[in-house]
Amino acid sequence: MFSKVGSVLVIGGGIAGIQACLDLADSGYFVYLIEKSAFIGGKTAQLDKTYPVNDCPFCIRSDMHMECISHTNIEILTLSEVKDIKGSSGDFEATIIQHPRYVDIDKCTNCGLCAEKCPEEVNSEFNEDLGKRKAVYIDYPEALPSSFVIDRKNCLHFTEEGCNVCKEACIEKAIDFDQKEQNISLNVGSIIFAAGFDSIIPPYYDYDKLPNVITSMEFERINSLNGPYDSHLVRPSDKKEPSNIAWLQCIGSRDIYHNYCSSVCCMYAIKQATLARQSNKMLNATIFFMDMRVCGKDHERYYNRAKDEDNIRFVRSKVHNVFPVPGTDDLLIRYADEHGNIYEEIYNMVVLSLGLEPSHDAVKLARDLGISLDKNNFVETSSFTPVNTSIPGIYVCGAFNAPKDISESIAEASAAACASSLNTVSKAALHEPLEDTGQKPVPAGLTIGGGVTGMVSSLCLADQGYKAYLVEKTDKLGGHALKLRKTFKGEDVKSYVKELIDKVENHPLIDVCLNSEVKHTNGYAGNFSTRIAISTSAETREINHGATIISTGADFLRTNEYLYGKNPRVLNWFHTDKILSEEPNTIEKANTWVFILCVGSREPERPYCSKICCSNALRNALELKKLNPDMEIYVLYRDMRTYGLIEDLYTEARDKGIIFIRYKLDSKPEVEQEQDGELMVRVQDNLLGEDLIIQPDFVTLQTAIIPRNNENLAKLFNVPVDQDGFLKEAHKKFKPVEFTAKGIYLAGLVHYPKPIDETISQAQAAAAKAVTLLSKECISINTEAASIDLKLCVACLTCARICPASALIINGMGKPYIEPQKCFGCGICAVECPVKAISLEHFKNEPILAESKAILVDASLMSDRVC
Amino acid sequence: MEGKFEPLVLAFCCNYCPSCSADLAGSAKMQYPSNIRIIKVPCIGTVGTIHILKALENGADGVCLMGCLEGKCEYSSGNYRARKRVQYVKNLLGKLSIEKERLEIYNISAAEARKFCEIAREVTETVRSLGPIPLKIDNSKI
Repeated sequence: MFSKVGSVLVIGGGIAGIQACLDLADSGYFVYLIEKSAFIGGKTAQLDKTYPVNDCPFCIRSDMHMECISHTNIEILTLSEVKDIKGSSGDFEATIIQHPRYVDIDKCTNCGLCAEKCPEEVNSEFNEDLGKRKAVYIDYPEALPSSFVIDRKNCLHFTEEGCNVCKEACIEKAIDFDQKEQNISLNVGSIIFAAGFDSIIPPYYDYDKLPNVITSMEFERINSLNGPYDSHLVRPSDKKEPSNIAWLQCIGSRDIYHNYCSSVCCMYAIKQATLARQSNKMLNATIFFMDMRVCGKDHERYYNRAKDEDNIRFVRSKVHNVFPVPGTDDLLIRYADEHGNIYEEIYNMVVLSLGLEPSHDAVKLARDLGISLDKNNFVETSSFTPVNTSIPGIYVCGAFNAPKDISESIAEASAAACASSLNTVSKAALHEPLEDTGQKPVPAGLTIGGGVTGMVSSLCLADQGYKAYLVEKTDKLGGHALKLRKTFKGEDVKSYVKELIDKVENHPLIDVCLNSEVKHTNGYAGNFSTRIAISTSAETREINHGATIISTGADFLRTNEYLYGKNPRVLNWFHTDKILSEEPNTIEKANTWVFILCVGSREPERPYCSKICCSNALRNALELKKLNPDMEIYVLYRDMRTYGLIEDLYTEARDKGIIFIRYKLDSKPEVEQEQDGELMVRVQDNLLGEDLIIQPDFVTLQTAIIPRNNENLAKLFNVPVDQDGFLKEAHKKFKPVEFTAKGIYLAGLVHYPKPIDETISQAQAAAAKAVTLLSKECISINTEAASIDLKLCVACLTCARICPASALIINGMGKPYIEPQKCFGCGICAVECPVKAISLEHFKNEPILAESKAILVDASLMSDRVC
Repeated sequence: MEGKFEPLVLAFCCNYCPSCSADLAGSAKMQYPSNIRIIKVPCIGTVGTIHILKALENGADGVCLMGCLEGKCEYSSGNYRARKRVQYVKNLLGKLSIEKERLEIYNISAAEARKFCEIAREVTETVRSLGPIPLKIDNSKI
């Protein structure tokens, strides 16, 4: 029917795997999805709500699951494992073992009779062993594929021979005990590992002995709508509502066995505490932590809200032990605070915030295939190719790459989709059905901003055969990356950027417009027309393109604190980078160096974390120490946010004797210039409780990343700006590179501060999204806007008052006018209009009334009702 | 003509959460009474008084509106408007001596396929206990 040569194999049916499948399938590639368990969804399916929005994730998640199941370009193999992979990029031969489900997916109607009759009850893995399930089961009623599965290990038919209760109960005759294991051989062009993570089994705090010491995932299940205790927040031992709960952070992270930070635990603990407080207003929630690592978009706000409004108690400490309180089910926590004082407190329930380990099975497979793994068994990738493994043609995304949250996983999944599609030979013959226009999208993308982000996305587009226009405001490509020296992993940024610029400038399909700015744009997804003004000549240029990627980046703060700009030895981060590469003598002569972190970030006026300062400071501090081992280096910080694998730098810095001093927002360090011109830094040492005086040769300020003036850009493209001034994506969790407006995507620092590897994966993700649009056979036009019949309108202005989109404006004639770009077609004005002057193209009164009448008349004619 | 009374209920479903939950109920092969007939609307706030009254006039024994959870309306306030409107129509029905219970509004999230089915059953049973709508025009005689 269609050629499957060159299709893609995705390993892991979690959120990252599903996203990668959808992007590939939407761009016309055929995808096989291999899932180890019986249902797709992975760990995300077990989660209650997602931070930082606290909304019900199922709305979007279940949509994705359903799309994945029903997509004609995706074939899902559940209960399957990859046994072996042979061949090379473009032509892999994968051997898959599919274990029997013992239930025919096509016949099963999900009625549940089999489970009702099944005599064997076991612990439910989906509910983290807190609830029960039968030997024939479905994880949760909405789980997909929608069919029960028999668990061979526990089924009495296999363990004790001859139990046929379920088979007899099944009306549809869907149960088939004769199903056998199958060996499937697949020929694919590239492979994406999206194997995800396994939670660590907590070796401490008597988790296995004390029932009320639970893991974070267990808490997630308890608090879930479809959880084991009917969404009542009760503790496992006596099913009573706890009145105080403690969360212990960094369990299985940042210890001697796991020298990395799991990145997500701080945020999910705050989320769990917030939600717990919502269900029980009287609850005392305490989080015991070392550093609060909340560096993502809106995470800091979420933390502040939890602290200030939800009255969640945060204790900077290290917990020694958890003891049972004799005679009760309560638990005694003994902890040491920052100053080393020991305290004891009693809690009803203790939640261990477990870290993430790379999926154990996948690690084994990756080892067998010869994929390089780092010392923690995460896949080794370069910051510049964040989704490429050491084997060409095999890609990685999600938490198997490094610990990361849903939104980063999703961006990476799209990036992996983009990268892997370059490797596949041919597209599947299946395409989207013809939509209403029949007009093909313009096969070109416009990228605004010629930094690393813009260059990467342009290259991705051009490599897939689309024309790429790259608009840059200044006279050269490269952006801030030109000033950067090294990534946190130590790779040389300069040579990478040089190579990238070279590739972009010489690519036949990339049209670079320097000294240019976008002046005007109109059109719709698939067919935009944008006017560009070139500052060096008075010319303008009209560009026709199908998709737009905004990657205009961000700026850094020019602070007026700490003598910045007044003393030449008070530097900014890029000055330090420059000294490091150009002035070895200066470094040799310097005796003392001070780094001050969070300059301008995490303050009331800018309540967000700039994310990259900690790692940049530590990388530079280590370089300085290497060049001049006798130098004394002080790092003044508020929370050390070396999330994920960056934790390595922190460990190394402490090993090398770099001194870390934590300061508080209300007692910031002071930088003074003495009469002889020397610098003096005064900082209050939290541990000693005394002022420390340092006389450094240089002070480096890690100043905040601030948004550029995005207002104009946002107005031009009709996209939203968030409260910090960065552009606002469609959904913080599930749609990180899209806008609600179709055909426009965002990537890089214009979205939020982030390091170069995340920037690159976002750039690739945005390109992947653009390709799904550009590869369509035809485009649909937004016909949703409402229109007003001014002949009928009496100008009562009800519509203007109620419009949720503020799309209704009153024109000079005193009559309302609907701005079509703003209107999102909800139809609320149409129904509220007292004279019915407003109508919505696809939702007119008459058709709806006709539909309602037709349904009712038909139904009453057919039925045998008593009238 | 002697037979069992099977009520007919028209459900206006918002295109977002409620329709999603109905789809989910379908793909999860859950069962709900066939007495419910669904009309998708862009937002539950777009269902006007006229739509509800015409449905009852045209032979629906009951009408139910399904909107997103409160505070979760895609268009910010459509479901609150719908709730107010339902109250208004209920008062109208009261004046016409038609049972107010024939009209109801529910808020439902996209995840709650089970709740969707429960609501469908609940509405059907409520309307069944009220009997056929007195406004009914015998279509078979038209």
